[in-house]
Amino acid sequence: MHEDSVITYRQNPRTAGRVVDGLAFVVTPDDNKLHTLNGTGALIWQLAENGCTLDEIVSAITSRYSVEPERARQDAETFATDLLRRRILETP
Amino acid sequence: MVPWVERSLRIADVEILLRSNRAELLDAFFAPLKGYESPGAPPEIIQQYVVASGFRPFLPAEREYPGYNFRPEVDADGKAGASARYLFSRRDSGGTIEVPDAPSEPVVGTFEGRGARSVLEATLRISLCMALLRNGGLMLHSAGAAAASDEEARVFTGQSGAGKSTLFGLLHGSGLFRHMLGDEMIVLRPDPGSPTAWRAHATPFGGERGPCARASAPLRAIYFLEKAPHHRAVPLQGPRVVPGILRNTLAYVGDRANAARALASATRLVKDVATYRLEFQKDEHVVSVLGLT
Repeated sequence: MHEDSVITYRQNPRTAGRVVDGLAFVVTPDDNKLHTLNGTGALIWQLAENGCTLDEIVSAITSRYSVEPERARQDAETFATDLLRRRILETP
Repeated sequence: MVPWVERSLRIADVEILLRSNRAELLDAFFAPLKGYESPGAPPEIIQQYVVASGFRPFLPAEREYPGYNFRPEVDADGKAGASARYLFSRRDSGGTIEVPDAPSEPVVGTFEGRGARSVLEATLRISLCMALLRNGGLMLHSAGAAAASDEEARVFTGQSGAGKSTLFGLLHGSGLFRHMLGDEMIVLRPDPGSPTAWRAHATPFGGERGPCARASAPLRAIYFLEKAPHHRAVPLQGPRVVPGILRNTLAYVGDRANAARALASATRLVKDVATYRLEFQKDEHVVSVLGLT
């Protein structure tokens, strides 16, 4: 098990988001910015509504896309880190 | 005791009670307006503006917002209070806006600042923004006009310098438009009676050409302006138009509730109304690509 697998990612409760035709639009009110997430980013945003681990994100990616688990994990880590940096997601 | 002077007006079917300690400021505000004054009705906005000669901003223009500061009021624990209340400050004015969730209760703007018409207008825009978002509408940086042939409004959006006033002049000069709605700011509101379920309203917030008379029309289409050496209207589709609408929307967000309202209005608008990229040059033939019958 990877060390990051136990971290739970959640939507930042201060954000507002809406998913339309596979795109997620997320507003972070602290900086008044609109973020457009597609593909993996939108998938993670939706999973994070109820909280999700990295393993769950990887599982969702491999279920949706034809991609090797190791590559899916790299993508999941990259996207999750970016969404945390932008304060779209948060961890406990 | 402040000797209040009160006047009523109606913008985009939003009834507003405007109150100030200076009658001459209200006179100056209403002077260029045509058709916006109201005989009075239960207000959706109560806007109070005190001219304070010694006004000093009470919030620093500190963060990412250029020229002003806007934020929700928070209590000592850092949590939002029971009522939605926002603080606003800029160099020439400041105040609070209270936004009850229930649309039956008025938005209350309480401001003070310098005694200039433009400052009063700027504070009124903020309260109107909040009231519109609460009711599913929005205020779009745009020019607009309703065609004489189909009585439907075309709205042309873009940031400063995109050509809104230029296009407005071309449409006006063509003689094909019955109602000119404005060259700077148009209100878009849901309207079940319109074919697209949206209606475009003139506002008294004019750009280079000043405020237009009060008018409204069913909204036919939204065009994103782009200067070009030709005229062409390119249909836009799908949710990727949403950021364009939000980028050109006058919205003071500040918290999750307002962000959610702005997102909901923009996504619904894009779903309901045809959108185009209007590539145009400065001549009257631009009307030939606007689908006028």
